Amino acid sequence: MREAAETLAISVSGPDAELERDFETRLVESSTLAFRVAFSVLRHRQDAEDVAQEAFTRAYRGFRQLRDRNRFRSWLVRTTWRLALDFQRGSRRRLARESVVEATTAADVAETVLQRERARRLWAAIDALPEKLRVAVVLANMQEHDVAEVAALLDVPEGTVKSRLFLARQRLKELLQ
Amino acid sequence: MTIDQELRAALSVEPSPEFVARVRTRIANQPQPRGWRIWWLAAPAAAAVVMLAALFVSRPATVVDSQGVPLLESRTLPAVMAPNVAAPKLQVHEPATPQVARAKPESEVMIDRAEANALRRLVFGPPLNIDQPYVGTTLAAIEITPLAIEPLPIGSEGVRQ
Repeated sequence: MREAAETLAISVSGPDAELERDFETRLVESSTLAFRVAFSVLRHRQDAEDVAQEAFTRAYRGFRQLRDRNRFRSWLVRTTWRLALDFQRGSRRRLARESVVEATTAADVAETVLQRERARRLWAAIDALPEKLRVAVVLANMQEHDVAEVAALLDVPEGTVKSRLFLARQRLKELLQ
Repeated sequence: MTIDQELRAALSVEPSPEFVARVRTRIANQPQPRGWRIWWLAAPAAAAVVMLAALFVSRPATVVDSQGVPLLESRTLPAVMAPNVAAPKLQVHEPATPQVARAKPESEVMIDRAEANALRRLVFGPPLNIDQPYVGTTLAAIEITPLAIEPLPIGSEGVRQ
């Protein structure tokens, strides 16, 4: 890890050092966000990390052309989401997905089959949502994002996010009943 | 447990500790960002365009008819010559662009020597005082001799001549 950081530090010396430092800061603060976005689609740790990695690589390549750097997280979320969907379509044959219960509560070995079933049903219901509702409800329940933050990430008005969240919760209730 | 709570719990996953380091390694192995590559490609392309434009501008334009014979050659004008009244004959200046092929040699223009000299005096000779009014002979000074018309010889009537 240290070698990689040193390699990056060597490559950033020069007039672009400030740009590279800016990117490094954003990489550190947005890595979990990108991973969780990918995981919400793929539900597979390794696949999610691969997709988030690819998203960061693309972000690095386009970072110089990104006019508004404050929109980096928004750009990253949308790119990661699209890449995850593409990855999912390309690997439909993968049936053995990582269990959500295993991913979130691995420490608790006393998880019951009932909980596993509930988690499976929850993700099945989320997958059944239209994409716009799906990404809104996922982002709203990720990292304590409020409506304004979700609106900024999706680059839509707050009212749009509110209506999408309302519709998504309504659909989820119907599907899970 | 509400749906939101379940979802929040399901999404509270963390990437592996090596994730950020792996991203850094991958970025470090990447070539330079696109901006650099574009500039490296754009600079030689711009230089090539400038050279082609300069070449195009410096080449003389030649109008060619359907048979490939140049109809109009662009020639550079000859340098301004000093008056050379005593030159025995007209000089023909060769075009400054010898790479333009001629279709056939031009025929020489035959000019009378006196006319050529007069033309030469007119062009290269001393300037005429055209600003001064014309001073010539007046009409009164012209002497006009009266016409003498001799009568026609008339023979006798009825006589054949």
